Formats: sequence, C-alpha cells, structure tokens
Amino acid sequence: MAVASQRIRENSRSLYLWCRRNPVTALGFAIILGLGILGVLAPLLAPYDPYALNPAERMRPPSWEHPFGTGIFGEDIFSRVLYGIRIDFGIGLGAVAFGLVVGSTVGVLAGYYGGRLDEILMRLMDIVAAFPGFILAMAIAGVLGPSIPNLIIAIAFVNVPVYARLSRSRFLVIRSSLYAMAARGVGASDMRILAWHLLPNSLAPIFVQSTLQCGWAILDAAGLSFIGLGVHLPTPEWGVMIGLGAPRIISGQWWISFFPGLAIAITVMGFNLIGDGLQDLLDPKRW
Amino acid sequence: MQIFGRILRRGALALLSGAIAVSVGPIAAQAQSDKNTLVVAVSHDLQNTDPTLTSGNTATWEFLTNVYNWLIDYEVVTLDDGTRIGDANSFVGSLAESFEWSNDGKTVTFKMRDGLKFSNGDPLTAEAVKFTFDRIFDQKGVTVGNMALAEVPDKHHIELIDSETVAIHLDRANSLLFGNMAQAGNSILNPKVVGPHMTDDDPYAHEFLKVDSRGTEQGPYRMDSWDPGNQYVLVRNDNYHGEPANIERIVFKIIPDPASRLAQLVSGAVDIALELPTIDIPSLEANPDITVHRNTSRSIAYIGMNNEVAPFDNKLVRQAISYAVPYDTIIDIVLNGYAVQLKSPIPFGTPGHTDQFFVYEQNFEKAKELLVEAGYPDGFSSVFEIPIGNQEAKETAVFLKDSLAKIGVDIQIQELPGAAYFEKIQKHELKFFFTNFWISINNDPYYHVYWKFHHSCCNYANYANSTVDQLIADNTISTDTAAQAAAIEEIQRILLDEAPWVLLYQPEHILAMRSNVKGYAYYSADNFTRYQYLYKE
Amino acid sequence: MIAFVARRLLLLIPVLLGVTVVTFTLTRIIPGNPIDLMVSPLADAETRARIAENAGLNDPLWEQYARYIWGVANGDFGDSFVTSQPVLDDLTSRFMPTFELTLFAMLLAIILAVPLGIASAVWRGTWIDHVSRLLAVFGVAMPVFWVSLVAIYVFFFLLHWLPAPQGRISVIVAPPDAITGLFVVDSLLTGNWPALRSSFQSILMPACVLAFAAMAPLARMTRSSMIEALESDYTRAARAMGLPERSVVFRHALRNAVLPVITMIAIVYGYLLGGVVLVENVFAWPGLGRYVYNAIASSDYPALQGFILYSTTVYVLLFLFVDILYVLLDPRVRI
Repeated sequence: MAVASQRIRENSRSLYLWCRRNPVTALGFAIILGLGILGVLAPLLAPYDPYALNPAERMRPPSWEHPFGTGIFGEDIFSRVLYGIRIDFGIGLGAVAFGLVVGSTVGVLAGYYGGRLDEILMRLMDIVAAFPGFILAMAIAGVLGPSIPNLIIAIAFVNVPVYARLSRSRFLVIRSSLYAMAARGVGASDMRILAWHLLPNSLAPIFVQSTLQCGWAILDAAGLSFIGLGVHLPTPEWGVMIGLGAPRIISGQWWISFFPGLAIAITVMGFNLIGDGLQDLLDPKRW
Repeated sequence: MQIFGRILRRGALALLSGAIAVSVGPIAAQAQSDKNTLVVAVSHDLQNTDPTLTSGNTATWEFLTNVYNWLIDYEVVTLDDGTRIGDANSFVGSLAESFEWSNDGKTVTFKMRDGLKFSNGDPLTAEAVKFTFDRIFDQKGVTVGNMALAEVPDKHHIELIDSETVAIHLDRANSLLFGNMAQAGNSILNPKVVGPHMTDDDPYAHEFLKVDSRGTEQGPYRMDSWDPGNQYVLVRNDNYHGEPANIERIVFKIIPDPASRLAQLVSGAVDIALELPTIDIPSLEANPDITVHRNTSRSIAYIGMNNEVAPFDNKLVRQAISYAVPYDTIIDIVLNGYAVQLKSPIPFGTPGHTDQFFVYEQNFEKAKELLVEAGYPDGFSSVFEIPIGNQEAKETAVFLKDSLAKIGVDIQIQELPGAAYFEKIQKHELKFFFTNFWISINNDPYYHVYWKFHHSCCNYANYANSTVDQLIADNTISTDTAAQAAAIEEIQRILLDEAPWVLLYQPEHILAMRSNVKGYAYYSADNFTRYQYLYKE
Repeated sequence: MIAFVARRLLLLIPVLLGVTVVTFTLTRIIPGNPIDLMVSPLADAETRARIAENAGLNDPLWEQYARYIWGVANGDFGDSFVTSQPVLDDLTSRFMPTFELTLFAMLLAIILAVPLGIASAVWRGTWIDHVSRLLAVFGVAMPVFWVSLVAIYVFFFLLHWLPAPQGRISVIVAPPDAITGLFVVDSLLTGNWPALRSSFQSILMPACVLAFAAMAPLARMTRSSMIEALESDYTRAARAMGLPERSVVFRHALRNAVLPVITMIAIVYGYLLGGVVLVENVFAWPGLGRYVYNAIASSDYPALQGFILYSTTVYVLLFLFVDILYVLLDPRVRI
C-alpha cells in the first residue's frame, strides 16, 4: 500500500514538473478548466435565456447585443454556446464514465478469471471493435431514439472494447508484479488486491485514455446530433446548433453554425492536449 | 385522398444537405437549350410504383399520375385571369368517352373511347377496366376504402357489359364516387402485361409493378428508364388517347437537398425544382428568369391531441393549448407567409368550409384560466412528436415549445424516424403530434370529416363525439344538399368548440420553374403537375 | 504464408457472424414497423398481414436470422424497403462515389502528412515541428461536418472559387464514360475536359476536408516512428560510418519507419468510413454515407444491415491486409 501511494505521489510530482516544462499541455488544462468555469457560471454570464426565441430578430449577424449573432428562431447564439458547455461536457464525461465502468469491469473480470470467460468476453469485444465506431454509434442511436442518455450509451458502447482491452492487459501485467505477489503473500484476499493494489496501479494509462476518449465522445455526440440522432430540439447542444445553421450556410449566414463548431474544436483540442501530454509521460517519443 | 397520407411529407425525410446531383446521360447538358426535354429536380427517388398499392412518396404519386390514366378525369378550366386549373369538382371522360348516370343515381355507365391503346400497343378495352378493378378489390388496393365509402363495396359492383362498356353500381345514391376516381390508385392496367406476373406467391403481380410500369401505361407519358438514386426519365407516350404531350422527354433528377435544387434552378441547370424552402421563395419571385406558381392548397397542417389520453381528453386543456399557439409566428416565420391560417378542420377551398366559429387567437391569460379550470393550475408536461428531418415540423415545434412554456406546459420534442412516426400515427398511438401530410383528394366536406373524425382509419386524434358521428353517418350518403349544408356547419361548430386539433395552416403549393416554361395548370385535388401541358418557349 | 492468410481469414468468420447477430438484433429493435413503409395506410389488416407474411416478418426471429444469413452467403442482402431495389445493387452503385472521395482524401492526406511528419522528426523542436503539431492537434479536434460548412462558406459564398454542394459533378455536365467508375480518372482518360473540370471542382472541397481530418494522426505516427528509427542503433551506425544525413534519413530511417505509418493509414481509412457519412451529407455526395443515413431515418432494415455488414467487412479486411503486410515487410515478425 505504501508502495502504491508513493507511486501515485511520484506520478503527480512528475506530472507537475512536466506541465511546467510543457506549456502546451498546461494550455490544455487551462482550456478545459476555463471552459468548465464558463459552463458553471453560464447562468451569470449568458446575456439571454438559451431557450428564448425572438422571431423578430432572427438570423442577425454578430453585433454588440448578440456577440455571436442570432439563429433561425432569433435565439442568442452566444448564450446557447455557453450553456452548451454543460451539455457537451456532460455527454463527453458521461460517455467516458459509462464506457470506463463497463469496459474495465469486463477487462478486469476477463483478466482475473481468465480461461473460458476471458476467451468469451474478449471475443465479444473483438466483435464490437470490428464495427467502424461512428457507424455503430449511429445505428445504436437510431435504434434507441434521440435523447441524451441514449446518446451517451451509443457512444460509450463503441468504446467499451478500448477500456476492456486496456484494463485487461494492465491487470495481467500488474497481477504478475511484485507487489501483488507481496500482497497475496501477506494474505490479502483477491477482492482486496483488486481494489487496493491493482486498480490504483492501472489508473494512469486509463486516465490518459479517458481524456482522449472524452474529446472523441464530444465529437461523436456532435456528429450524431448534427444529423438529428442526438439530443432533443432545441437543447443547446453544439452539434444540434451547427445542424440548425447548416441549411443557411449557402446563403451566407455563417455565424449560426460557426461559433458552436469553434466551441467544439477548442474543447476537443483541450482534452487532446491533456491526453497527449499525459501520454508523453508514458511514451516520450510521441508528440 | 388519405393516401397522400404518407406521401406529402415523406418528402420531409430529405435531410440537411445532400443532393444526389449526379447527372447521367447526355440530356442534362442541354437542359435550357432543348425544347423537347424538361429537366425536373425532385427530392426523392421513386418508391413502389404499383399504382394500386403504392406506399410511395410525392415523387412516386406524381410519376404515376403522369404515366397512367383513369376512366374520368378533372376538367381543366380557364379562370378569368387566364390561368388554367384542374377543377377538383368537375369531371369529364378520359379513357371513357362518356358516362351516364341512371335516374336513380345508383348506376353509372362508362362508354370507352375507340381505339384506345396501352403504351406497348395492346388495345385497351372495357375488359382491362374490369380486370383492373377486380385486381384492386382482390388486392385490397389503396382505393378500396374510398370505393366502399361511395357505396361500391366489392368487385361484383363493377359490371362488364361489353368490350366498350362498363358499369359501376352503387348500393345507395351519393355524390362521392367521381371524386375518388381520377387518381393513380384507379389506374387501368394492361392484363397482357400484368397477368403473366400474377403467380401463386404474388397473386397481384405487386413485385413486378412496384418497380416497373413499362407496357401497361396509357397516360401522356411512359417510363423510359430508371437509374435508382440518380434519375428517372419519362418519354411521350405516342399511344396516348388525348392531346399529345408537348415536351418529349422529362428527366427527373433526384436532388434531396433543397438548397441544391434551388441552386440548380437558378443556374438554369434544371427547368423546374420541386419542394423548395419557403424562405428562398421571395428571391425567386424577384428573379426575372424564374416563374413562381403559387396556389393555396387544400392540404392541412395541424397538431393532433390524442383525445383519449390525459390531459388531452379534457376539452378545456385542448382549448387552452389552442389559445397558446403562436399562429402568426408559425405562418410568418416558419412558412415565411406562404400559407393561410387554417380556421376550420375543413380547409378553405372545400365546399361547406366556414371560419365563423374560429375563436383561437393567441391569448396566454385565457389559456392559463382554462388550464386552471381544467385542473392543471401548474400546467403539465408532455412529449411532442414530429417526423424526423421535417423542417416545418421542427421549427413549428420549437416555437410551440416556447409558447407553451408560458402557460406552464413543458413539451419535449421527439423526432421519430419515418417508419416509427407512421406506424404510431396509424395505430393512433401518438399523444401530441405535428402532422402536415393530409390532403383530401375528394373535394367533399363529408369525405373529409368521414376519414378524419369518423372512420377509425385516419382519426389520428381519436376524437369521438356522438353528435358529430351521427351527423356524419346521416349526411355522408345523401342527396339532400340542404340538410348536408346545415349539418356540415353544425359539425364545424362542434369541432371548433371541442378543439380536437390545434388548427395550423394550409400551405401554398409552390412550383418554381424557368420563365420559358409555360402552360402550367394547377390541380387542387392532389397538387401534382400534369407535365403534358407544359411547353418551352 | 498462405496458411497464415487462410487461418486469419477463417478467424474472421466467427467475428463476422457475431457482427451479423448484432446488426440483426439492432435492426429488429428499431422502432417502427416496416410494413407501414411497404403498404398504403388504407390497406386493411388482412393485406398488411399478407404482406408481412410474404416478407417473412411473422416467422420466429431465429428463422428470420437463418434466412438472412443464408441469403447473405448467397449474395442476397434482401431488398431495400425504401428503394425497392436489392440492397447489394444499391450498395454497389453507391460504392464508387464513396471510394473515389475517400481515395482522394487519403492520397491527399498522405502526400501532406508524411513529409510533414518526417520534417518534424528531423528538425525536432524547431518551428516546423511546432507548426505541424499545432495543425495536427487542430485537425483532429475540428468536427468534419463543421469544417465542411466553413469551407463551403469561404470557398463558395465568399470567394466563389468552388461550386455549392452539387454531388460528384454538376447537373449540366454529362459524366464521363465509365471506365474505372472514378469520375476524375475517367474524364482524364477519355479526355473529357468539361467533366474533368466539374468533377474535380466537386471533389476538391469534400476531399480536402476529409484529408484535413486524416492528416493529423498520420503526421503524428510518421513523426514518432521516424524519431524511433533515427535514434535506433542502425541509423547511429550509418551515421558513424559517415553516410550523409540525407541518406541516413531517407534510405535507412524512412524505410524502417514506414510500417507503423502503413498501419496508421489503414486505421485512418477505417476512421474515414465514419467521417464520410457526415461529409457526404453536407456535400450532397451520392455515396454510401447518405444511403445509410436515409436507411436509419426511414427504418430501412435490409439497407442498414447490408451497409453495416459491408463496412464492417471492409474494416476487418483492412486490418487483415495490414497484418499480412507486416509479415511480408518486417522480417522480425514471425508467422
């Protein structure tokens, strides 16, 4: 146990040093933190109710009153982009959490019990992984119907194999490690080993993976919402907002789609910068 | 006809952007220069071309309307301003040269034209008519319900007298039969072409007809080729009995994206573009190269409230909702003004229509009072169901949500995939829903209320009122016009008070074409273009 | 070698069978009764029952599944409910447009990303490394459908350089005679200049958008495997022997760095299969992406099943191909 916590401490110390040496990753943290704060403070910062419609003012270009312009219902894009942080972060984190819990449960079960169960579970994972991800998510979202929980399930389901494989391999590596043996040697039960030794020691790579997946999940969610398979109208979700503005691009009303898309790009970039930076800890040859 | 059911806005499945704008064949390049070729941008591909059992979209119905013909057709009349329309209430012989009603009004005898031929040259006689109606009744085709309503319940009521004469017998005299007859669902088919495809597995040759029509057409055009997903081509049918079509070939380009259809029309790449977004119509009207034909259509858009399900089983709730709807915003913004407000469940343009009972102006105070009276002082929440990808439905829903929130009613907008929406609407399982696909092909008020409020088929809102039911039952089959007129007014009074639907609008039927394309005649019965009249200058 | 390929192909069978079970199950729980798409609403219960019976929709699920698998094994994917055409024909006719688009996007991405990756590896830590990293980070973060819209706004609406979304070729231009099925190539081969111009204009935007998304992972992989190769013993040895740096980079390092890049190309190509759905929808591209979207929006089971099975097969075969390539090219991998 002392070994484990010391390792965590070492990890976080090196993380801190690494951040100082790598402003780009620090930028990633800053973006996500900053957006998170904006999202939390949205009710204070947004000049309008994100659901308020004003047909008399529809499709106005950006101005002082409407910094990001107004949409096809006369809704204020800026306020909706702010509230969108809550929705899109929620979907991203939700999908990652869901995929992580299901995936690592499968992975750890497979790794722990081995044998036939391992074989069956991992072959199932192979089948799920055989689908092109976005297309499977699309089919699932189409089957379940549009809503935020369904969207989260659709996206998370596709990512389950990633976590399952990762956690299984980490599990196998660590189980054969010295401290697991040591713990077993002093009579710790299997569950105890799992909870206190193996999970914390698998966390670093899983955390890295989760950060990257979070960005992907937000992209996928936006894509599904864009084609109408995501959240309910008129929820201020970024993909839905882009979709509402899409038919107006050809006639030049760019702002309806532009700002929500920019918000997605910045968010995903933030998550990716963090994920990449952390991955460099494990593999310094990468960017 | 209720079949338009699926049709009108299945088109709405057209999504986002995306046009299958691939051009195939050399014709396309000549769109503007060639007077013998017309290029039309349509939103959808053909789908199930069996005329008597089609489930097709508007594109398919319009196709069928141009390649097939019927015993009788709508009369084309010229209005004072020179425009020509197909009069939905006036009928002339088509494949039948003439028709004659018996004195008791229970038999109509059709005398076939001489020398009629199918597109492949086979002769068309009264035997083909009998064959066709036998097949329709056996197959339970789309028009069987309409025929039964007009008191023609089975195939034995269609009598083959000789090869030039056929009679239809009605059990009771009524005026509904003809309004049901001039439509693709009653297309006369060629027994020599269809017959050989009738097998034990497929007794009605549905599998053949749903993808082919060649050899059995008798309308002004015939199918030349069909390249699924890209285009289909009609050519003039030289064996057509009437005035030959002016333009020889019509190429239908499948371009699902409305913005692309618009761009192609403006650039001159196509001659006609169907189903354009109303927001772009003003710029087309200002464009001297484009002619925009606008006609108020009888198709109706309304919000159905399931009258059997709480809270919509309460008349006060339905009235409250009707008082909260932003009618002006929907017409001015969603429809960009290209619609008239629907002020009776019977649309403007149908005999017997009256808007004198309409009281529902937007009034949140009144709506709230009604909700309190109904026992919902804090409002309630509900889903609001719309078909996926339908822009009008989407925008209406968003404005509706905004307005209803002001009286404490919270709705969640649910976009249903095409099949799910249609399954639920037909099983009457939708609770609170948008629908804009209905047009009663038979321009008769009783036909309309019979299907929409009486017969289980299409009473999607599950409205039930014994007085209304009795009035419909007593007057639908009747020749007492005075009693019919009084009853239809009473029905509208009750329906407006009971508010089974939120009445929204009647859209204009808009058809935009290059200015050198002339000769258009609007058919209010079904909104479909008869291409045979068009010509290019 | 043949035995290896055969064994790998055999291993695909259970995976693909599993895939069919998943797609079959998924499409059977899609809300919406296909009967409502197949017959008119006026048809009575009897007619509906008859048509459902004929379509086999009343049989037990396992029987429907068995029939489905038997059909698939015989090249019969069923008929689309919406188009009334055999699904396989539908997929075949929409394959070439999608293939053309993804092929061009991929080539473009490789041409841009590989040199960029090499440059970043060779001049690590310099401005070129930073710029290409920034590009890579941006490239993966931007939603492809949004980039598509921005591109349309800039290049069509503002600059008028390229046409509005019009599919593969303008309606007023006749497509080239089919030789390969790729419009750009065919019009080049037949010397059909108007078609070449129009099809090239049409493909430019969607291909660039997809390429932009595909570039990032490629450049990244090229860079990291180049660094690995440049730091390896054999390149050090080559340097020590006094070989010129150019020769070290291109003759020795690049050759060894190429394998992971090829893997990445396959992975990215698989990823493009998803992105292309969105891009085709925006650019009116008449390919598989639009087809599957319509299938989902109208609950067209056979079409949806057919497409998923098809794209999954492509996806799986792609990875098999990469594995085989590894065996062929990398002497360290033993069968």
